[in-house]
Amino acid sequence: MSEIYQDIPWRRHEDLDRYAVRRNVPVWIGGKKVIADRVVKTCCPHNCYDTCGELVYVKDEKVIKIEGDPDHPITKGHLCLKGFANVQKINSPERVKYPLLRTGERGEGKFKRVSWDEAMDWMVEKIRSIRENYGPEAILEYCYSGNREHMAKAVAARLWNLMGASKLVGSFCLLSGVAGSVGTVGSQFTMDPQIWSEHAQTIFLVGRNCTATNPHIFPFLYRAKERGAKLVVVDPYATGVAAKADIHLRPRPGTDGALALGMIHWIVKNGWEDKQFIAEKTTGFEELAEYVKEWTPEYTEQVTTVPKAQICEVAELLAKTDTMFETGYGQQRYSNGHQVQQALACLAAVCGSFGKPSANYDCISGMAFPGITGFADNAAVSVPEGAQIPKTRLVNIAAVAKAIREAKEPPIKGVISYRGGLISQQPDVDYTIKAVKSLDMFVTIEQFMTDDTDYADLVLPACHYLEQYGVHPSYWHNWNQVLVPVCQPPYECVPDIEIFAELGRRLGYEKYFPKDMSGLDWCRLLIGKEIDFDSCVSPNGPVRDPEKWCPEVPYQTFDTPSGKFEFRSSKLEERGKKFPGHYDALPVYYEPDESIAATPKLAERYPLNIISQHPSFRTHSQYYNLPWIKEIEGPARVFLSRKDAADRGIADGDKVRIFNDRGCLENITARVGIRLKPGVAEMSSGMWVKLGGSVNKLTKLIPAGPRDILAENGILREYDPLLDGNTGSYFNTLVEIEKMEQEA
Amino acid sequence: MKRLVFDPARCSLCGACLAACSAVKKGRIDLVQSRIRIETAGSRKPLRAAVCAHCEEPACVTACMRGIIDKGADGLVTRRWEECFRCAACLVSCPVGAVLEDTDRKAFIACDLCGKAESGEDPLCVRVCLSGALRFEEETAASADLRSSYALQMFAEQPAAPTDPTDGQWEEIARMIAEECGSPVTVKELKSAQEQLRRDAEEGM
Amino acid sequence: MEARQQRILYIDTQRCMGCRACETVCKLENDLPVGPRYTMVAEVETGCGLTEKLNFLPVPCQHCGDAPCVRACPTGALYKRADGIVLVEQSKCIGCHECLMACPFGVPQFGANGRMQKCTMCVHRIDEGTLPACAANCPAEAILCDTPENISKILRQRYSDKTVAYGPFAILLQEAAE
Repeated sequence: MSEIYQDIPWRRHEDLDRYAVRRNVPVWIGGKKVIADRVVKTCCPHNCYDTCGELVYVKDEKVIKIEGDPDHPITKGHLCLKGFANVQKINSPERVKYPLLRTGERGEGKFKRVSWDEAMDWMVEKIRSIRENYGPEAILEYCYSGNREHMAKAVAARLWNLMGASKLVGSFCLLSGVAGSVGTVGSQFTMDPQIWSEHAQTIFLVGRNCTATNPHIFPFLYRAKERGAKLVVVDPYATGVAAKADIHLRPRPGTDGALALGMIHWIVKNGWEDKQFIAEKTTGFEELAEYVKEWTPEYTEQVTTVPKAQICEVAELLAKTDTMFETGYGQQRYSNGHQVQQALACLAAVCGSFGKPSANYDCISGMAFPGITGFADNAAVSVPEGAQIPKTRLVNIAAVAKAIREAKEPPIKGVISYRGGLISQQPDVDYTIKAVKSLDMFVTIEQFMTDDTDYADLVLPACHYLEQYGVHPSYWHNWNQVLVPVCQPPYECVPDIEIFAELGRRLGYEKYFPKDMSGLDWCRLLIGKEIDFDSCVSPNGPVRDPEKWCPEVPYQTFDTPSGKFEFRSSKLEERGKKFPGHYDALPVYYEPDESIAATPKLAERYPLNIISQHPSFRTHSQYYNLPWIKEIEGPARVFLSRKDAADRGIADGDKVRIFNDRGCLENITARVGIRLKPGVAEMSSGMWVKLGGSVNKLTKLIPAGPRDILAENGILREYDPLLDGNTGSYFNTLVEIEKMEQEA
Repeated sequence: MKRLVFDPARCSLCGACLAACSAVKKGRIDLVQSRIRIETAGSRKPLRAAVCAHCEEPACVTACMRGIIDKGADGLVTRRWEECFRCAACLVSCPVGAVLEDTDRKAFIACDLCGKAESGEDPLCVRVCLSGALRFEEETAASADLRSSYALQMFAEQPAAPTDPTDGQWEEIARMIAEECGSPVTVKELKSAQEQLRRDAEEGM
Repeated sequence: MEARQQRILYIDTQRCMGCRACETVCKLENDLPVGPRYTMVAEVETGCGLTEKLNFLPVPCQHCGDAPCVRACPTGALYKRADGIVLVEQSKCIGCHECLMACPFGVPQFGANGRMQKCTMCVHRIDEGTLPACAANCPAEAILCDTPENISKILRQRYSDKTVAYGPFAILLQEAAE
């Protein structure tokens, strides 16, 4: 047993050896052979397409090595740079080791160590007092995708449901695109890449920086290319995958939807649409055809800045060859995000790219939303049998800071935050900090002292994902395995499931959080009965998701109200009658909220559209503090075109200031080159505020998606995530950049 | 610790670094007395720079018969040259050919980085190298720069051959040297030093 | 061993897409702190207008046939093994940095002890018959480690002969088995 392990009476101590794939395994570390006690199979639950299979080597309850699981049919034994950095992360001396109670002012980062009992008593006392003074809805969880597995969230949801706390809903990542996609297509599926890589003639990849977020797609893309398929990439930024494209279209940020409409126009004008597919499997084509009449190549070029010759060339290619549509999430992080995805789905339908091994459409797998769709039985966990669950108000995560500041009757007074960087990841940092400061109770469950912990009243030591159970079906491929703890948690770190179960017991819900229930038992309950549970637990797994939820070649039928692909979306139209917002039945283009075309006056002062892609170096804000990763990434950088740099007297390597009315970043290193077109700048997301590089100092709180949730302050009574969908519109941000004077 | 790093691909053999070194250390332009020397193949092709590397385990320290060469905790190799009796053991043993005899001091000496090791500021020889062939870098940065410039050669068009300083640049170099040494230096002197350097190289000196 | 049977590390630059997984897998395999980087991915921008492109090149040790670092080393610390792998015997290194100046690729590294260290082609793995960590892990299958002849075969399969079945490694393994 590791000497850093410290006993906590209520933390479960299990025999983890039963998960060993092999025992006493020799493994190389620094040219020396070490005998690992065991190797355990698990998968990575970060917010990423790939959900890689991993083999983890453990010695003396310490992770000493990780490698890819060669038996995983998609990730095939390969991991990304973060996968290996997990060894440095999980063993970092900087981890939060014990519960910490704030002693200084919020933001000062001064804490004292307390025992878990003291921490729990403090929380219970605070929650009780907030409940008594304001009612249970004054309590809110904040949770996102730091560890994207669903199990702990479901256990926490059980507690919030029993308590009648405000419920966190939505996403600030991809739901606006999902709304556009669900509105036209219905339920969401993905086709495994080994199918399309053998059959497609063209791959149309939009808004996805695969190098960083989907590296395991590359062998499949290369396979397709080696067969002779063409790769077309749409991205304003010159990404690694764009470098491999036969054609790279670089629209002005936020105009991908316009680009799709222009292509539909050209296809329809030339009569290249898939007439049989349209006749048999779609509705509303005539209306769309009428609408796209104005989207001539000339007009499309004017809006998107993509040369019309390129628009026509690619439109012809998509229509005349079997095309696989692989759409990412970058294109929908604008206030018009749902329209973009709706238009892309319509483009795929016009090309007949649905339901074939050679031509299909991927947005996201329905397995991404376990509370709503898929085999997971979320309700079995979150809504315990026999309990009275009050209907509570809903708070949308895409406007959570607004909700915290504006909520009345009751106000939001207590936030328990885990698996998310509230301050660094929500748009408009200064606004978010004000919201956090207004709370009576801000608890964070964290692995490191982040931007959030500095403002927390209580910091609880979180487990790394390798130290806890979890369920995380991929949202790109269709393979699934249960995450098991590979080693005992160090110090006083406690798995999230157990923190919420213990808190539940101490709040009086002993009955619903039985002490003898292990993480594996919870997972069994969540996964439900459609899958053979034991086959996806180490040493077994991964297993293919059930055909019912994840058909091999999806989209041969559509479960829209008409049973067909709807160019004219009846669902969005209906929804629009109920709620304010941009519910258009047709993918009617409108400009993003902040852009040179939508806000020309503002653009006079702030002419550069800054986008913030996800870099390889992080998943959101995680891994930023690791020495290995920092060494590779170097200092915070902003990428600029040569023209924009020359206009501002900026040379490659200069230190610059980036600013707008919302905030300012200083001492950022300018990188001048070809990665961006004039008028666009890029600074990667996820850097920490206290380390000086969070691009969210500049972004604006404008939730993308059809429903105008800001009109409701983000506080909702009813919410359909698949149709109202929201996303932070991070990329429609205008800024100015200037060279900083060097100190003499 | 930063070290002097030399990239022959960018060097045009202008000789400014040698001129600067001797001007600073000797008060006059005297290439033979420069503590940095560029080894060449023929008159135009620079191969490597011979300059003290401040080795981790310096051969000169072991070789020195008087024990007046020290390897400091800061990484610098230093000499109490006043005590040197010129046995030449350090020169003979130096693996990089960095040691020379200072004819005024009557002692063997080598580059001391002009005392810039601590501050990390560029010494004069680096500042006058306008093509960036001579750099003052940590070895990690040096490695990264070398790797990047190799990659650039692989993908980009062949890099242009290094060119001599323009007249304006010569003046800039002369100004920098004069400022540091406190005595005037002319472009003419610099250019004649360059010619000397190339002649010597041609003759295989 | 005949020269053509020497193993080399080859980077298929048409495939490398800059994910940099090779950098951390190398750190982990060789237990390296911040400082020494046995490999590093360089990014190069080329072209203009419609030909603009990002290029990536991982730069591990090339284990050159006639290695300049070996020739430059004044103490004989650097040497070439019979199978061509260039290695360093640290106890002989005096930290003179001549190898760094001699290497056209910037490969030699220096850790806290000031002695030279560098990519060993994961010689410990090679001796056990497995691939170096970076080649085994590369998600884009861009890093190849084999004899020049076999690498040539893989590249021909990738880029000229479209009729062969996928999986160059599989084919090679099959051939080796026969």
